[in-house]
Amino acid sequence: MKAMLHALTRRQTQLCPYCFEHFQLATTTFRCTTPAAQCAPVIDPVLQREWSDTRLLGKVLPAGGRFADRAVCGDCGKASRKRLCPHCHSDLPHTVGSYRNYVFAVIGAKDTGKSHYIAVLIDQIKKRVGPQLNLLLEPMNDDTIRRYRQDFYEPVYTEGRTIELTKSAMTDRRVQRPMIYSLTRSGKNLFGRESREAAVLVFFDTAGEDLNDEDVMSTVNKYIYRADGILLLVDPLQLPEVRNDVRLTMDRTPLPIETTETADILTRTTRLIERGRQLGPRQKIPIPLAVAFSKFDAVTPMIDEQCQLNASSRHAKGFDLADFEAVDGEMRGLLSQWGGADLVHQVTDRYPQHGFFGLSALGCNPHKTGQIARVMPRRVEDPFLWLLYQNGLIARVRA
Amino acid sequence: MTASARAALQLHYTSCRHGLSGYPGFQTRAVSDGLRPEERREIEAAAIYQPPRDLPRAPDAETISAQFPSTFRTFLLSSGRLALVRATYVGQDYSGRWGNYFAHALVVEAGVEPQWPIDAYAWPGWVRALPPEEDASETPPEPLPPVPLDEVFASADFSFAELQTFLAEGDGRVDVLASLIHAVFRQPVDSRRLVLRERLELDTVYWIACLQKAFPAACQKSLSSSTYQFDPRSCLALNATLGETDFMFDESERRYQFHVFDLVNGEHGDVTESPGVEYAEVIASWMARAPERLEQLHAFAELFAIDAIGPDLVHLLRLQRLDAGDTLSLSRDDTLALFAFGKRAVSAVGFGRVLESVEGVIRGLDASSTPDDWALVVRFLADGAARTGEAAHGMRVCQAWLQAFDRLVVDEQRGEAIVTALRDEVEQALGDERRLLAREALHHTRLDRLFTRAPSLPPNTRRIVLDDLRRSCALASIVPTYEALETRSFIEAALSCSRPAAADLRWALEPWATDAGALDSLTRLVVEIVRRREADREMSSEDAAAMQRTLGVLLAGLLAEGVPTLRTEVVRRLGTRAECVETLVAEWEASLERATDKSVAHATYERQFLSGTSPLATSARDLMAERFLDRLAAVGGDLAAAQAREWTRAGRCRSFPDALATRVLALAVHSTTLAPDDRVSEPLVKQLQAELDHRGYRLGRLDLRLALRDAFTKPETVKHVRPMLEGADAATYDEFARVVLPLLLSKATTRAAHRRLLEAVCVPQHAEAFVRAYAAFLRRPAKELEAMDEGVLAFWLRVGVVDPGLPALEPYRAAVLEVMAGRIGGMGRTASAKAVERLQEIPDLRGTALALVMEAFLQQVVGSQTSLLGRIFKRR
Repeated sequence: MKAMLHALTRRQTQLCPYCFEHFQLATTTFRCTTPAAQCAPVIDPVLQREWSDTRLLGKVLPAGGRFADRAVCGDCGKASRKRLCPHCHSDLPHTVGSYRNYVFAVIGAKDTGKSHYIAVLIDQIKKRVGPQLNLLLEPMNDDTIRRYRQDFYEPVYTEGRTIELTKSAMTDRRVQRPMIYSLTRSGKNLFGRESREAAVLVFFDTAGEDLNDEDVMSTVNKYIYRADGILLLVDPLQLPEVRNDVRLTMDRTPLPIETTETADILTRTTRLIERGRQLGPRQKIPIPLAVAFSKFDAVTPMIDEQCQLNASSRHAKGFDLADFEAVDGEMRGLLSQWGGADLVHQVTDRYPQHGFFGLSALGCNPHKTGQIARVMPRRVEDPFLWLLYQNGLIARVRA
Repeated sequence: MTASARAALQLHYTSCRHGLSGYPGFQTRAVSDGLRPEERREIEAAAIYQPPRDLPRAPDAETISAQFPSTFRTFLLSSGRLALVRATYVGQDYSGRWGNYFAHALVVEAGVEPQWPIDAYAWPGWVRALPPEEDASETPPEPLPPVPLDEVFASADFSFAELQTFLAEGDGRVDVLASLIHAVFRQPVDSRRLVLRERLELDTVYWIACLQKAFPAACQKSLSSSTYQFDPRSCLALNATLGETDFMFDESERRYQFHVFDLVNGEHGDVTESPGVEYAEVIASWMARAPERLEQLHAFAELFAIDAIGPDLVHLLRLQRLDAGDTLSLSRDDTLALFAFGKRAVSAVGFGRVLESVEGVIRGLDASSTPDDWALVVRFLADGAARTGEAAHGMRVCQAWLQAFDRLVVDEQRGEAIVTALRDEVEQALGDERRLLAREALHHTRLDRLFTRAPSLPPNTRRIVLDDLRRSCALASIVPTYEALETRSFIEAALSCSRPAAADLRWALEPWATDAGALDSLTRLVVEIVRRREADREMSSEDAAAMQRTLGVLLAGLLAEGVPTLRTEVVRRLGTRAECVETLVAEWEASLERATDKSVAHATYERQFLSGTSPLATSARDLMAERFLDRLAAVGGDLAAAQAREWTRAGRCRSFPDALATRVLALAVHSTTLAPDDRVSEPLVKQLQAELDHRGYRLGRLDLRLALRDAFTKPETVKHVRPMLEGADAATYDEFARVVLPLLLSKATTRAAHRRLLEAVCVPQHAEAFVRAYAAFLRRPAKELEAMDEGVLAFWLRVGVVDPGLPALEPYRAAVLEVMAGRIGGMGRTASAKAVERLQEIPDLRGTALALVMEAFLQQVVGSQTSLLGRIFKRR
């Protein structure tokens, strides 16, 4: 049975997590992995065209026309298992065809804290949430390890400073490349036997600038309409009512400058999905959408201390649905109260699977100083676990 | 060049509040009108800046200025325009977040006068940051004004003198530069970009400057460069870097990924040997020790259409060194490559100068030079002459080609096809000035040399030379070319050799093979030369005759290849010349040899050329007839006799000399049948008789023919035949016995007639042939007794019994009667009985004296009758 399922999977259409073009495993090419000393590397024109990558790399070994788990280099005679996307020649995860890819997009206006959220979320899943839920999150390639370490982890956790500006994917093609992790869940199945299930999680960080233009989005943010879950971060300090309250009540709190309306970004995102998935203007969007207030620590003084939002999340045995429903209700109320009723309406009208969350990645406001004294995340895992739950990757519990 | 083309368009890119996107963040802040959207996107992508990781994360302005390298990138846009980008780290943006940078780009119109991009590095107009107060305004920024290029490239920094100083400041820098240049040469082959790591920002800029200026300004298109590069994925052709970046500088990068020159750790990758090493070493040396030579090279490069890094640069360097008077030791291949490059790349302006540079090399072409070598040189010169249009250059290519022709074709007999084809190219290149070539080719000193060499040249070379002289004469309007002194003198000179073979003359006519006038004129010329030499005793009569025959054979070959009217015209013209008759006879013989139907061919020839009073007709008509007859006789069969009959019928015999006429008439008579009943040949027989009578000749066969005719009509005259039969040869008698005798026998229906006939025709000399024919007559099939049978039986039953005997035939009596009895007995009972009845009624066979003879014969007849059963079996 397992072999049959495997064979069926091989015939299924796969999705490249880099260029988001569909392909079949039989059409994939391979890259020669023999050391350069033994097999001269060459420029890959496809990689150069698609990713502006002019490096000399192992030769591309053509597809044989039917499924194979390796290909032999005609020059050096050695076999390679490094499978490439036939369209963009990116290295595909070795699990392609075995595990499904789950693509999660983190979007939001400039300065809503997308990069900091990803930095803290991944760390939290690895170190805290994962062990609680028997989830193991592991990077799937060197690129992901290096990029997370250099661009996310080290600035925040090692150097205690804010992450540098995320450059537009139009200028820095590395931004367009995702971080890819495997998520493995271990435990006992219904019959009480040990079991392991796995999925591939694909995270995209996005420069706020790249969400300001539909043409740019359709070029560099194609992943959005292919996503299995979208996390829309909203900076509460961008809401006019909040800014006024903060000015009146917390005059020492530095405010970020006003940026793009979140509603505009959601509108563009919705249109991108409509075009990409060929949906009509009134059709529902079949992608779970988590709308989360980032930097929630900045507005904590403005909300009731008894709110569920101020409590710690409780997802030790699965996604806590009761907690979610409480938080979701409170967030809707706050949004309406702070002038975000249109956003609530926009979300509920087009996205049947949606949830509202409040979180703080850093637990402090690093504006102006750029320094992070101590990372104290709050509820960063909530929207992510909700998306996993929506995709059936974790179970729900009602505490 | 328009003013806009002489100016550079600008672009500013940074993270700011107000720019062209309408939203805060990284964006193009401002741009000049005229910069295209796709160019803008390319520049934005290429202008990215990321500081070295080992520098402070939150630096103040002073630290940034002192430690953070700016990057200066130069590259070609897809539109073909050159982009110069200077990107500088800014630190925090308007929102206070780190990682902002400011990129200022200039875009230079394609096709503007080549410059070294590095000369724009020190332009004081580079903007390094956006002042916050400028970003505060809500008003959209104004378009940036274009900048005059003269200002951008006005700086004296990175002059050749400065580069010389830079190289002198560090140990081993000259060697490093040579390796760097060499690595650049390798890029088109191995695709490995050049990466240079230094400690100081200014040094990286100097290295890039050295590399750019090591190559002509026009070659900069392929030399995209970055004075500070962070990301190995997006390397340009020349990259410098410093500090901690994404470069690993490990063995993989050093040996396989890039051409790495790590000047910090002193570790460099290997550069595989390539032709560029010569260029690299010379240029590095000049840049360090004689920068003026390098400047001269770059000035010299402007004379050439050269815009890429490759072997052409080596050729350029060598040409310039030759131009400067350096002594170079070049291999043959190097020399040829030099000319190929010169032809391909030199401009019209530069050709004269290059020609001076390589004049010594051209003069050095020697016996080892191949036709292809010469072709390369001539093409180089022709191409240059075509481009400059200068007479001196035209003259030079003419001289070179003539030199190639005289040396290769005339002296060494090689490369003929290449050299002759080259003439077309030279003429085409010279255009209206191509008469120069004719002038030089027909110069008397050259002609003298050709005439001297002519006797010793092989025929094919003579043909090529003569044809070339023909072309030159035509070019010089010396027409007709076959009358030109130059061509005729060459022919005369060549024919001064003693004994030419057949092929040795074709060259003289072949260049004009389709021109009747030329063939006439030149044939006469050759004949005249031969006769003169014969008269001067330079040639024996036999050789002279042989040569004329050879000429005739050659002429036949050429005329056969041409249109039919060509031969008519040429033979008619030459036929008026008595001295050419011998040649024409040879032509006629050779043509006849080719003809399928020789009789028709000769008849046509006679009609066309031998019917008049021309010298050919009067002196060769009979000769040709005789030779024609000989040829037909040699072929065998009835051809000669048929021709003889034809001539007889046509009355041609009358004009033939006696000997020929005798031969013709004899042939005709002998081919005439003896059959007395042949009415068709009767007119011919009469004509033959008339011809013979005219000349007072007699021919036995014809007499026999006439006598037999009389005997056929008047049997009593048959006795006159006997003397002729006695004198006839075996064949004639045999013909008579087979053809005429049965006719005569059939007419002899009485005993007397039969006896008369036998007495006349049965001659002892041919008894055997007679008996054979007579027996065949008697055995002929018969269904009834015929009148001639009655004559036979009456004769044979009586002879020796009641009639006198015939001694010569008596031995055959019994056999004849047996045959006749069998003949009657075999007719069947009824016919046989009738035959016997008829026999008994023949008066000559009645009487008692013959009763016994008849009885015995009839017994023979009965005895020979076969039973019905026997006949049936016989049939089966």
